[in-house]
Amino acid sequence: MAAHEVPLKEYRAKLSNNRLGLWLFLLSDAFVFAALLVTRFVLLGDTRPELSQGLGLGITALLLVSSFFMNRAETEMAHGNQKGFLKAILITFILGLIFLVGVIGVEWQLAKSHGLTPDAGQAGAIFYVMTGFHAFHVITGILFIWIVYRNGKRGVYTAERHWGVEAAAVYWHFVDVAWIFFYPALYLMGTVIG
Amino acid sequence: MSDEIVQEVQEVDPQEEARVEAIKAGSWVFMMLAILTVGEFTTAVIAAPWTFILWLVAIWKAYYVIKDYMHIGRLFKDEESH
Repeated sequence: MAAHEVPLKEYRAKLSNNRLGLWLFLLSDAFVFAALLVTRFVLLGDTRPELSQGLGLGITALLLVSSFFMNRAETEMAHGNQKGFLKAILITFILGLIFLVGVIGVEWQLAKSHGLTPDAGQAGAIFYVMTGFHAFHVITGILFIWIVYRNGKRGVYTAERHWGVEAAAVYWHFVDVAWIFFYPALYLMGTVIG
Repeated sequence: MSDEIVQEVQEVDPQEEARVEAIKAGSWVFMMLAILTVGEFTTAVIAAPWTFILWLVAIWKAYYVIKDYMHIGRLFKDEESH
């Protein structure tokens, strides 16, 4: 039975379970992110890999702006503004793609040119594992957003029934929260390894 | 003429009003996140060893995102509400 065929009362009752399920999944995922964060400090202590702080700030800003537009998309859908929703979620999708290119296409290449490769000791290993694990979540988030965008274009969601939009938004913001901790840990805290 | 304008102003759609308020709230959170991000960057450039402050700022930013963008409060409500 499609979501729009389910009586609204039943749909709302299921919504609570959906939310709980998603948050439990995110909580379990957060433990992996936290483990990586702890590993970074155990391995590198008060030092950090030599990375471009300006580039780090730039990609962080991109992710924050994308979170703003994701929130905007959800708000527009919750108030029945289909056009505003499509516009905002498309911007989120594009910003997510640019962030991914910034990390994998630019940051990783820059790091390699400075000798920071995955096999270049502990700093290289933890840097690529942390950014790679996060980038994997960005990729899945972008795919999720694209599916929601396509569904939105087909008119699947309404102001009363848009769990797909809410779930995509919560997941995307979670990816943002993970980066909120990874960014200072990799780019700002400690002194550069000499 | 002026009475008509006053009447139009008074007849603002409550749904539209709620939408504008929600967008304003999202924009305010974004402004706070932007200010805090610039603040942590500046702190790190000026005084790199101040790790404690950077942790505080990161937790503060995460708090805003989890509360206002992820709407953690909805978890404790019985039905959908925005």
